[in-house]
Amino acid sequence: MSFDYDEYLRLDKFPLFFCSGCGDGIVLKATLRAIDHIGLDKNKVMMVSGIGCSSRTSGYVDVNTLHTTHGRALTFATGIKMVRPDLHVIVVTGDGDCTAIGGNHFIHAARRNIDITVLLYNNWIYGMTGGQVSPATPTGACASTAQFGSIEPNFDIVKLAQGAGASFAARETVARPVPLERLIEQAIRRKGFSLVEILTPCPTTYGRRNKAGDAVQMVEYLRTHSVSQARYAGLEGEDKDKAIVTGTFVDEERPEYTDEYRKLVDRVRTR
Amino acid sequence: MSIERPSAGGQPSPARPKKPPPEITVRVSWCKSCGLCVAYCKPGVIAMESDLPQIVAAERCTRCLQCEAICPDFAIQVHERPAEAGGGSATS
Amino acid sequence: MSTRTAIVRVMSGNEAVAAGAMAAGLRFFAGYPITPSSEIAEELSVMLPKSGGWFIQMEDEIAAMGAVIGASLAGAKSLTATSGPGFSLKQENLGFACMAEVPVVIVNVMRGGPSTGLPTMPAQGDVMQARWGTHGDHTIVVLAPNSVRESFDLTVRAFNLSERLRTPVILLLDEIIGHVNEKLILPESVAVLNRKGPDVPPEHYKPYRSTEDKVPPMAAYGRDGYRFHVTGLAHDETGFPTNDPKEIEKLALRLHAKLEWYRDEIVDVERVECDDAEIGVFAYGATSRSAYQAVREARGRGIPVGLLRPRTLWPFPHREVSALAQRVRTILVPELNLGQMAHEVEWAAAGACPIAALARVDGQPISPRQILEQVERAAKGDQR
Repeated sequence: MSFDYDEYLRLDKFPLFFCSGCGDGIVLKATLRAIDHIGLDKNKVMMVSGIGCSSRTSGYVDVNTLHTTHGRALTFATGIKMVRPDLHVIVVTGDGDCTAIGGNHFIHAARRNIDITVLLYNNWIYGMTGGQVSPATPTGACASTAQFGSIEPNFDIVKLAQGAGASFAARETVARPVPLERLIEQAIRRKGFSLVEILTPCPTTYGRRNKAGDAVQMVEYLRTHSVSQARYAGLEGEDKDKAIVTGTFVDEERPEYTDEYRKLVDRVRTR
Repeated sequence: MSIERPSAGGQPSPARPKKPPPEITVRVSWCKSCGLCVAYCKPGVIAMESDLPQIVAAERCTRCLQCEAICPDFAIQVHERPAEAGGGSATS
Repeated sequence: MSTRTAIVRVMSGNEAVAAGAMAAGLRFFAGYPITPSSEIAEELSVMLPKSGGWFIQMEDEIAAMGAVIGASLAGAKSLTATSGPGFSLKQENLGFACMAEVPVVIVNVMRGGPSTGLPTMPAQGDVMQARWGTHGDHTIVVLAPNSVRESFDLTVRAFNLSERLRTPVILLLDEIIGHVNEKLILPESVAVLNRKGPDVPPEHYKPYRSTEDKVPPMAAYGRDGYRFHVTGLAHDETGFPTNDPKEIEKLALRLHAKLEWYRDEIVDVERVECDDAEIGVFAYGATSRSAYQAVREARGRGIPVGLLRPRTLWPFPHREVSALAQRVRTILVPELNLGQMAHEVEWAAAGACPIAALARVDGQPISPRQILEQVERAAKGDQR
C-alpha cells in the first residue's frame, strides 16, 4: 500500500543534503509517484538540472541524470531530446536558475514547444548561495541583497511561460502533495513543453529573513493562500495580492518541436 | 456506523474484525525534525518527542499517507503489516 | 570507416569544415549566426537534415554550447561554430565539457577583436583565449588549419582526437581561411574514431574511472541500461560530487595528465627547410601561407631560413620550438595579434635564441613581403 520510493533512489547518497524543512524533497516524492504511476522505464527517464538547491535533486534519483551550469539546463536538455526524442526529459530548476540567468532559454524552449517537462521549484529566493533576491521574490520581501526589502516587481512565472507560448503551464504548492503529483504526471504524460511551477518553502534563508516561521508555518502559509483560478476572480485587495493561484492555466495541443524536425527530415532526406 | 447486510437466513453478519494498524517507521538518521509529518497527521497518530516523530496513537491511523507524502527526507514510511495467522482478515 | 568516391570541388574553408565534419560522422550541430563563421551553420542546416542528422539554431551561443554537450552525452558526435564574441560566451560551458570530459568540437573562425572588433576582417587574437578562456586548470586541444584542404582534414582530426581523448577540441580558423576558396579533393575514405564504450555491465559502470590509458570509457544516456550522473562539480570516479581532497586532486591531476600523456600523438607540426636553417620563422593559420612565400623567396636569395608551422597550437609544441631554437640565430613570429604565440615561443626557446615578434593588428593579412623584410633584417644581424 505504501509507495516504495527506494526503488528510484540512489540510496548510498542519502540522507538528502537539503535543510530541515526544505520543501524540495516533497516535490521529488511527488515526481517519483508520478513516474511510477505512469509506469516509465527508469532507463528512459532523463533528469537534467541547473544550479541551486533544487538542482541537486538529480544526484539522488536513479535515472539518467545531468547536473549542468547555472541557468542552462534547458539547453543541454534540448540537445539530448533532439537526438533521443524517445527519452522522457525532465528539467529540474529553480526560480533564479530558470527565470533570471536561464530566462532566455526558458522562453525559447517554451516557444519551440519541445517535449520537455520543466519542474520549476519556486522558493522566492536564491537559497543555496545564502538567500539573495530572485526575480520571484515578492516585492517588499527581504533577502541578503535586498536587505531593505525588494523594490522590484516579481515575475508571474506562469504568465511568463504563457507569454512565451507555452502549451502547458500549471502551478501548485508542496502543501498539497497529491494534486501536485497529478499535475506532474499530467505534465510528463503530455507531449510538448510543460511547465509546473511549484511553490516550496526555504525556511533557512527566505523564512528567517522574512520572519515567515518554520517549515510547518511556511507550508501552512502556502496552503491557506492557495486559491483556484475561479476563486481568485472574486478576490480583492490584500487577499488578491497575496493569493497563490493554483491549477492549470493553459493546456493546448501544439506541434511539438522534435516531431516537426522529424517531418522536415522525412521531407528532405536523401540518405 | 455499522451496516447490517441481511443474509439468506435473515441473520445479521458478524462485524468484521478491525485491520491491524499499519507499521509506521522512521529512518531516524534521515529525519531532520521538521515536524511536517506531525502537522499533517489529522488523527494525531504522530507527536514530536526529543526531536523525533513518535507513533503515539497507531490505532487512529487512517492510511491517508499524508505523513509520507509530506516528509521531505524520505524518513517516515507507512507499511501494511503482513496478514496475521487465524483471526483477523487478510490485509492487501 | 566511411567511404565515398573521390569528388573534386572548389569551396571555402568554412564549407570544408562542414564537409569534414560530415565525413567524420557529425550527427548534431547547434550554433548561432556570427560573421565570419555563419556559413558553417548554413551548410550544415542543409547537410544534416538531408542525412538524417540534427541541426538547430539556438537562441544564443551559450545555448548552442549546452546543446552540443547534451547531444554528445546522449551519444551523438556534435559540433558548434562561432567567432570571437560567441567564443567568449561559450567559455563557461566549454569548461563544463572539459570537466565532464565530453567529446565535442568547437570551431572559432577568428576575426578582429577585442569585443565587436572587426566582424569581417581577419585576426589571430584568440589563440591564448583558446587555451585559457575558461576558468580553472583545464587542458584543451587546439588545431589551426592553414588551407581549405586542412580545414577539411583537421576537422576530421579534431573529431577523432575528441572521441579518443574524451575532450573538447577547438578548431581555430581565421577569416581568411574561412572564406578563401581553394580546390579540395574530397577523399574516397576517411578514418573515423569513435569513443570507447563501457567495458563493464551497467551496475559496475563508473563514468570517470581511472584507466591505464587515462581515458574513461563513455556510456551514453538512455542506451543499454547505463544510468549515470554527470556534473560540473568536482567529482570522483562515480561521477558524483566530492569534497574529499584526495579525490579532488586525483581528478585534477588525471585531467592534466590525460593530454600530457598523449602529447606526442596530439602535437603536429610542419617543417619547411628547417634542417639547415640559421633563421627560424614560426607561423600558423593564414599567416603561414605568407610565410611559405617569404621562405621560398629568401632561400632564393641565399638566406638559410626555415619555417616551423604548428598545426596544433595547444598543447604547444614546446619541444619542437626548443629544438629549433638550439640551432638558429633567431626565431621570427609573425602573427595577427600583439605577440600571443611569440610569448610562448620565447618561453619554449628558454633563452637559446632571441625571439622577434611581427605583429599586425589593423585587420589586414601579413604579406609575404613583410615577413621577407624581417627575415632579411635578421640575416643582416638586425634583430628587429
